[in-house]
Amino acid sequence: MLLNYLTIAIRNLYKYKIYSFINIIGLSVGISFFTLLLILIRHELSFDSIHKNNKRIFRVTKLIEKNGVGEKAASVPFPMGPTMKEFYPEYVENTVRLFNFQVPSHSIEYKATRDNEPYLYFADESFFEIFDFPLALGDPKIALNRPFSVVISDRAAAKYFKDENPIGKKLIYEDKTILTISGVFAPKTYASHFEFDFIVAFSSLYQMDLDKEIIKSNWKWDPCWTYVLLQEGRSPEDLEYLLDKLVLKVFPESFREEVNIFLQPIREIHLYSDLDFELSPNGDIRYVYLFAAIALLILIIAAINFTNLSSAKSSLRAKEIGIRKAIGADRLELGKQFFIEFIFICIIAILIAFVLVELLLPFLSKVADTDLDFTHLDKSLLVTSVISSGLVIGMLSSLFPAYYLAKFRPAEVLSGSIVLGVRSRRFRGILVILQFVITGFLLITTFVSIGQFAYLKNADLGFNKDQILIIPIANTNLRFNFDSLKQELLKSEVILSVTAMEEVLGTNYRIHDYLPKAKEKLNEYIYLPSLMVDYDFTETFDIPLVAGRTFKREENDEYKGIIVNEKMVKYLGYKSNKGILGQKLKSRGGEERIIGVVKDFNFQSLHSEITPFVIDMPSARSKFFYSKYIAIKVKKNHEYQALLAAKKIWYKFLPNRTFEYYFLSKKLNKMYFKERKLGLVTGYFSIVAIIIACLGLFGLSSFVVDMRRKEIAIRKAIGTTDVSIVLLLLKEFFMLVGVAILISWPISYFVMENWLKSFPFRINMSLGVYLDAALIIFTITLITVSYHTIKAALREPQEALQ
Amino acid sequence: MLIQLKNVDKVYSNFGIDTVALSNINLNIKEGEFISIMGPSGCGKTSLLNIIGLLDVPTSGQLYFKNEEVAKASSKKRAYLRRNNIGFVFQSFNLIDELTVYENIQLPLMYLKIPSAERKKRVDEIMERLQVAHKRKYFPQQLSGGQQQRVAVARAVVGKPRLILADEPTGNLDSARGQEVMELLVQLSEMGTTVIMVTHSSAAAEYSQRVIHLFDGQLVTENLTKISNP
Repeated sequence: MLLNYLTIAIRNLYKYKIYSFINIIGLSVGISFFTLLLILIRHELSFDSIHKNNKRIFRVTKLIEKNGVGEKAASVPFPMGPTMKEFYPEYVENTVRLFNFQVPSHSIEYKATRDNEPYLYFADESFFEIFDFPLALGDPKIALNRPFSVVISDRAAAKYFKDENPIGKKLIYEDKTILTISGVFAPKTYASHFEFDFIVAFSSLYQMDLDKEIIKSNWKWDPCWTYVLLQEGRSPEDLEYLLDKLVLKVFPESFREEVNIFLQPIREIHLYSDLDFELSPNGDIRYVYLFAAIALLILIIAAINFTNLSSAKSSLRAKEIGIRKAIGADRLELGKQFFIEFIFICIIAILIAFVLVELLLPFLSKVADTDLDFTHLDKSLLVTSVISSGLVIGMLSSLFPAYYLAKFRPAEVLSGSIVLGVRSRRFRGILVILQFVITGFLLITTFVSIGQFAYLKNADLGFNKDQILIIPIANTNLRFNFDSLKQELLKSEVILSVTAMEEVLGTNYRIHDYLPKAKEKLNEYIYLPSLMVDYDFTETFDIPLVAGRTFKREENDEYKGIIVNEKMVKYLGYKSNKGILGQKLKSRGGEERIIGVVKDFNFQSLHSEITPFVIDMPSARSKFFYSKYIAIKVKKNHEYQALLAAKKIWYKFLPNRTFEYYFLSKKLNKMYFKERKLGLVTGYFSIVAIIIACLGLFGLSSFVVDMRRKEIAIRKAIGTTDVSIVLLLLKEFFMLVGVAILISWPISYFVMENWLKSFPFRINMSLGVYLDAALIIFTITLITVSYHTIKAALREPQEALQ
Repeated sequence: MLIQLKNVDKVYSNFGIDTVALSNINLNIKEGEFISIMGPSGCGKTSLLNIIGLLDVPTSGQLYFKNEEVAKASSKKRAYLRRNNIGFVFQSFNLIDELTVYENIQLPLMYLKIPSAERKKRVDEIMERLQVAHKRKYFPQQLSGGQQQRVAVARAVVGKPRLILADEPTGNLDSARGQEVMELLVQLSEMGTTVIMVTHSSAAAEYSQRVIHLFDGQLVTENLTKISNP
């Protein structure tokens, strides 16, 4: 009997070729995109799961805050890790620190290959005791136990050594330090919240240009990403409680009250953490939920399509059902037949879906900015997802025709007294509405997320981000002769202004401690978001002054003058911008006075509100420490010439170091990669949803037209024009789609308004967004159903009336 | 008695309008009989045949099949009775277009769960007998009307039913092909199969032993001998 069912299934597929094609393609596209999203979600959820002790690994983070101003640092002081282990051995099994001098890149050289490497960290030798990153070459137990040994990634190995065996080879670090390769990481097949190409033995630092006292006992600077492996059975909350006490013992008295240490589970860093100084940009759990919702919606659309088309097609087989019933088939037999047929179609769709997933994965990987790779994919998820989604759709979809077609009495069908399909019209109408509600929702979601991304990208930040060239100089000698470099740069006609700063404006900031006049008596320093900069800072970034003046050489403003923003004026309790001018604001560098007030601007990404902010100048003596980046304002449309000029000057000063640069606007845009990713993913998946829904509508329109063939013929026979017939048929679909659009509007509004609420700077959803979505859906509906309706209207009536 | 109808009514309701198809039908059919049902269009012939064939249920009255009351039997029970006892021949042949001649004929045997070897033997036999063996791999639309009806008859009898119900079996055939089909039905009747046939054709009715006339849903006459047109 099974063979009989399959035979008839295959012959039916062949007989109704267009239906079959639409049905199978719609389903396989649905299943494959559903699976692609699951792969993406699984990837997002898999971060840091490679470590066998991942449940016991926590990152030590530091929150320092007073009156809503402060920072949430992903890194802590050098001594934090070792002190925790020393004080609480019963809680702490091990700790590891990662340190990178807080510079964006490090110069690495091997023979003729030289580059600036961003992913280099010094790490304690316990690195391999806590983390389980696999090595392709070398022994993890001893790889980092000698100073100046380094373990490199497979991509770094390929870059510097090509086919040579890297073990034992020497790399030159920052022009002078020799690092010996002791291991090579295996190719990355896992997701980790931080990237690394070079892990250098931490013990090297004791023999480098770094004050040993800082490593040993500086509790003010937070340069180390520190991870702790808890003892079995110990809870992080208990340790946090003890750390509160430790803080009061070890942190400087001046701010220990404001410090809070938290332990972050390593598995939660990627999706839940959004701290200052993260090692890499993280994901966002909200987007994972959103992707999951989109995945489900795509699957629902595909399932609806399949059910709709299959039930429509089944209706065409009423005669066969009637005959089978007359011969003695009972409901169960017929149900079985439909079930097997549907499953058979699903299996074909499943096979196609596998191919589609493999073909589309690189594309998804690019869109979602991940390193998903088919060869490293967890195939069990792929297989389970594709097969189960296909079979579930097949089973659910077979229920309707199995129930409905098996229910009627054979006499009715065989005598032609009922026309199948009429009764199920309403059911199919509801499914079409549901399909287009989802499509409308996805379209609006796309428009809003793309709109918000465009807004974030193009918003006025209150400073000029265009034509700004950034050159990192943190770990170069240029820090020490910045002034002469600046003079050289300014000689170029296309370079308008040059300044230096400790963090790139708009991306990051620091906190420094200051003593406002009001707190002088108590000698109570407070932590304020700030940036140490050089002369010409406000000029380079075109930050408008609202009171006072900017830094001037002739005024000797180094560690004497301070500029604040308007929010800071209010924060410090002054009524007017002018009122704060000349007021004392003591820093660790000495007595300083406020010389100017700038208009509030977004010194960090638009994900955060503008808070009080200080722009300060270090003393001439400590200037080298804070001059980590140069910002160059270049003449409009002369970016390339400016770049060439800067490069030439760079090599004049640093002939042995690769020139590194980027344009600020590009860097800032990257801060909104999550919104971009969301926009792209929803965008592409909306297109998929529309395609699937339209495939269904195309098939369904053919069916509806077939069903109404006689009616159309009669109308034509009595003189109705072709145009009226087309309009009559279109009306049916437009009504369904129109209802769907109306339903999708409030749902989209509710969801997207809530999403937008999470942004301090956001767009407002205009009526245009809804109308655009409606227009697109109506246009596509028109194109989709026109083919069959026009064909039906042009058909000669006698054909149907015979 | 193979079939007994007692006070059978059939009323169709459509949008609140009742149409009486059969009214107070009383009829006894013995095993091995060959009966024709005649009457003008819309008199209820097909409704009666459908009720006897358990394709439809009476609105009221009793229906006995092999002395078992089946008027209110479940659809599963009725399917079971049809499968094991009844073969249908329709005016429009009602073959499944997607199945070949062989596959159409073997379908009832599959529902009867007859093993494959036995099935093949029986289908081959019946195809030989009805002279359609050379068309075994053909699809219905590739056959002439007469051939299609022979296939339909083959399908109706392959399960060796006790009862054959034929609804205008010669209606779509020319006289020569019609005659062939009637002779087949007579042969089956002679071999002990009960045959009930709905027909407009008095020529076809002449092959039967008894003719029942229906008018406006009521049984008006029963002739036990050969008849002429009413």
